[in-house]
Amino acid sequence: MMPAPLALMLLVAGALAMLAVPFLPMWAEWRHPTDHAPLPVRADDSNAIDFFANRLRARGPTRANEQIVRGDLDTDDDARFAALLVEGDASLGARNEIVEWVHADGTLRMGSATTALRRASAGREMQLAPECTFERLNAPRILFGREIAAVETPVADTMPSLEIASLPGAVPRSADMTRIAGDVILAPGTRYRGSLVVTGSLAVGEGAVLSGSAKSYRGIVVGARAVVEGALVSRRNIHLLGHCRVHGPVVSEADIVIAAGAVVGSIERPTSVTGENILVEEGSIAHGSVWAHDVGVVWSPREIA
Amino acid sequence: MTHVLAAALALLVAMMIAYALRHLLFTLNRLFGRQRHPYLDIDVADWPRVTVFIPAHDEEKVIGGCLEALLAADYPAQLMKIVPVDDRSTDGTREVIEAWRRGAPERISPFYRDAGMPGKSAALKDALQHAEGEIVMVFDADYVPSRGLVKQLAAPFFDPEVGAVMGRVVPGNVSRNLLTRMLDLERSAGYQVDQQARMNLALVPQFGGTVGGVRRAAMDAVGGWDESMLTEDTDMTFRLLMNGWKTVYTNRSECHEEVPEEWPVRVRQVKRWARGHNQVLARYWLRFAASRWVTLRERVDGLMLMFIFAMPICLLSGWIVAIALYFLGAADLLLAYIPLLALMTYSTLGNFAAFFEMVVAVLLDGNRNRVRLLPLNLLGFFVSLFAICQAVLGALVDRVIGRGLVWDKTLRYRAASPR
Repeated sequence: MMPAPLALMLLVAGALAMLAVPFLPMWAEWRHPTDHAPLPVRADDSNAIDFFANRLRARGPTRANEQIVRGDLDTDDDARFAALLVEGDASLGARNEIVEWVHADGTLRMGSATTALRRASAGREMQLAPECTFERLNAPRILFGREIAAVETPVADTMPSLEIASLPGAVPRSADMTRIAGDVILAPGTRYRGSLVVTGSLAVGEGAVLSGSAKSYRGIVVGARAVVEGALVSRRNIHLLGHCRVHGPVVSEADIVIAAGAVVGSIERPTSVTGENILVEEGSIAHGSVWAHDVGVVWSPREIA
Repeated sequence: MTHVLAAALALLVAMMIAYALRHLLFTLNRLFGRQRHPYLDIDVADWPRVTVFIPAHDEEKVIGGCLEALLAADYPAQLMKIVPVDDRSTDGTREVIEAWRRGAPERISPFYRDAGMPGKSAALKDALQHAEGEIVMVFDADYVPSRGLVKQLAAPFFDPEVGAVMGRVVPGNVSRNLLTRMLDLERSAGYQVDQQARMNLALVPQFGGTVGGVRRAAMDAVGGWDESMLTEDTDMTFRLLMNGWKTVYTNRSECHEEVPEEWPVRVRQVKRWARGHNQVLARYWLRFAASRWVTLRERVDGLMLMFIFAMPICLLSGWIVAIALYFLGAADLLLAYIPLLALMTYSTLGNFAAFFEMVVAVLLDGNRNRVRLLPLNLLGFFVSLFAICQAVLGALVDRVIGRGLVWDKTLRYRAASPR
């Protein structure tokens, strides 16, 4: 049997040895650093959608699958590209596939069922045929499917007007922002002034005008011909019904459905639409960026019929 | 007596376990949870007018770099006003600011402060009258924002509920020495794991007072900057939250900073944070706990965040109580009341959970070998532990003898930028 003092010494020595083990690689890394560079933060990092296009333009192709077209481009059906810069207009055939990005300095037309897996942008306009799928789009004007006749939107100055802060249950938090607990329906044909945060769902009635921004915890529906002059934000779904107009960003942490005739942003005030999935009906228009984290799809009732 | 001490120890152990579980929850969320970056994709918009404040006291070495970077930002120039706030500098800070102002007089409007209370909160409060537009941003003078950062920080304000926005602070002087490397690990954990997990879980992301912005209407609604607070950022976070405004964190909005390169500077920094944070705790914890604007999860997380700089005192107290119980002959009682596992958790997991965060944060950042330095952070942990305890005791003494708060400026190490 081992004497108690010796056993104790062995125990202490063993414990110290185990404690020392992680200090060996620590010592090596301290004395001879192999990983001590700061996390890279690019000074020119700007999140611009045409970043890759501009870089390709500046330095020329360096990979076999990068292409620059000096002029217009028409592609056949079922073509596949990785990175494509067109210095004129680009008309992609049906079922084309863009693996990385495409940019046209003029107009970019995407034929039916074309897929843009990453970025697609244009200097003037984009036109996406039905069944196109996308992730990130950017252009001064993005037309989904065929254009349909615009419907007159309400004239805010001639409508009955209410302050958001005067709604039942409203609790103003600043001169411009009001919180309301529960669901809220903004009455049709009425103008509301101010921004609001709703803990339930929000419905903007048909032909109503909201002169401000809105956030809803449980989803937003903007009625037909309604106008939202600010932004819409929700952690749930956002539905923009036919011929409504939203001037500010539309941000959903779930899905966004945009019906025919709806317009987001304007040429003078382009904006962003961002959600997990974005379903856009033929005949709607966006100005600026449309960014689906998962997938964006253009659909047409004609195709389904 | 021994029963009272045993009960106190049980309470302390429970608190330590709660914090350990919180660290683990955040880490697991970053590994396996849904990551929220809802505003990052707003890249085109009718941008609001912003005023960018650069609080500076003896910052001649670094403020030029900050001004240069802000002038290169891709934010519309006519919508961004840059206001260097020089608070009684005794070095060449004003000369540097003037040199930059002459190069861009329509964009840079300095505010020179020669009187009033010292400190960042007081300087920002006075400078606020020079703000234009809806959003106020703050960059400390040693920060070098990237081109797109101002846009990224402005984007969340389209959400009408957002009162403040915080970006990610990244040490730029990591390779200087062992301390900077250890602080790099700590900062990674704090932002890459803690802040982002809080954002993911709709808890309480914290406004850090730099690389961030505040909505002016929200700030006005809660009474503006409070010059009596040592940590104006924590103060603002909680006052906004208690009044119905959220703070959001944008993990991909990164900006380099200088971390302390000397231990005494680091200790002073930790002491200031501890005193400021505990000021907020003392002033607001009860009101925060009862606020009608806070969700249950925000309430729990917010209170834990408020008490975080009180925990080292609890930890030390726990050790003292455990030793006292032993010497009071209550070893049996200890065994009866405190399960051994809990004691082990107390002495290991409670501390090591934060280390677990560091490992995951470093790996998420795409690094690997620097994790080997982790055992050394035990040293940092003990330094912080005693610095915080000293700060808390100092604050109590100050309160008794009526001594005012003293602003401690963090030393800069970078060579002056040319202009």
